[in-house]
Amino acid sequence: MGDEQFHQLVAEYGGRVLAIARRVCGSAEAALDIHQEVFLALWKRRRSFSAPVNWNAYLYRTTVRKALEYVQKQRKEKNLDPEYEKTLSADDNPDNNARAAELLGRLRQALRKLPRHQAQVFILARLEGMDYPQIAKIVGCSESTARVHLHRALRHLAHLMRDVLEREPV
Amino acid sequence: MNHKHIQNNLAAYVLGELDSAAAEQIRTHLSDCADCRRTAEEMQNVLRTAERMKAEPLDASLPALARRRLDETIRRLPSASLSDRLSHPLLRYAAAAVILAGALLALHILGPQTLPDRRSLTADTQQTDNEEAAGTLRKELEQAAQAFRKRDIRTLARLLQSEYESTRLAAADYLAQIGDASVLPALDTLARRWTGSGENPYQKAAQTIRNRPAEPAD
Repeated sequence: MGDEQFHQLVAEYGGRVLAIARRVCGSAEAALDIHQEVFLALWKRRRSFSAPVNWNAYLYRTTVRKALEYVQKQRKEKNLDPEYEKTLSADDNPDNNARAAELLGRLRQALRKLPRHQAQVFILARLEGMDYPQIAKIVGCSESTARVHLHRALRHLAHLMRDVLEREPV
Repeated sequence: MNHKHIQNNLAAYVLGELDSAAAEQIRTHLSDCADCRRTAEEMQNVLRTAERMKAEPLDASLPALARRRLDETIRRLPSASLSDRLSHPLLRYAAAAVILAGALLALHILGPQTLPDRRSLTADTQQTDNEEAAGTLRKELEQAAQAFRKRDIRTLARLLQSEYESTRLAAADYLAQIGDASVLPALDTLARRWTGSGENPYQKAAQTIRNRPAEPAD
């Protein structure tokens, strides 16, 4: 891949990378870090891409993975309890009420506890609005497998968030 | 559908993926089973929370800011590795020149009478053993390639004075393609000093420039 193609990729996919990272991590600063991480890694390896690459799949996959890793790493470094996600969401969304911020935080926390493919499929389906054929191409599985991953992810998330979900209806 | 089967299909039901008959069976079950009803409600709440997450606005200035940060970081990166540089088509000649120098040295060891420029090749090799000198050579080769891309004749003419034969050969080759009369004295000097066998690369470069039709004045 030449330098020009690299810059075209940044222009074409940069916004989507930021949007996914922003949603998964819950902060603009995290989104900037992940955008940098994703494209810097690509820049360093750009000469090694000689065969055609499905950039859409590559960048979605890489971004989701890095975003989940980022949240995990940040949580470990800060040694914070689940309340951390609450404040993280609330900081960036001052207008949201505390309950909504708590739910968003808990969903982020729960997402990173899912098996990787389940988290990927849930994010692509419910945060990016993709259908099963699109998800299957990105994740590298069949459509029926993507469907199973989404169903399991939803069951897992409901289970992981049970304590906060059952308090009162949203 | 029994209770277990209903539980297995609850996610599909909440996601709206079941046909009407299957969905009706689930609805009937949910009206009687508090446990499954609660699970379905929790799943629906997860989906609603995800919708809210999806709707979170992205600061409009973020893409431009991200782009600036990325560009700045790339600019500050240490220069690329040698293998990375040599993957560029324009630098293949430079790589070939380095390999040629090595091959000529090997020929020199096997048969000194075939050496084109014994002193300079030996000097190059000894110096490239030194990491710092190898770095200088790489830097010069990159400079030559960049100068060629920018059609910077002055820099290429300066590189003709390099202590490294590889750099001089690369610069001469580039100048043969883009050079003008201003570099002919330097090329002629190098051509006179050339003691290698075969075609004189500096003489060839100078001849190519002399044979090129003059560009019309503006």
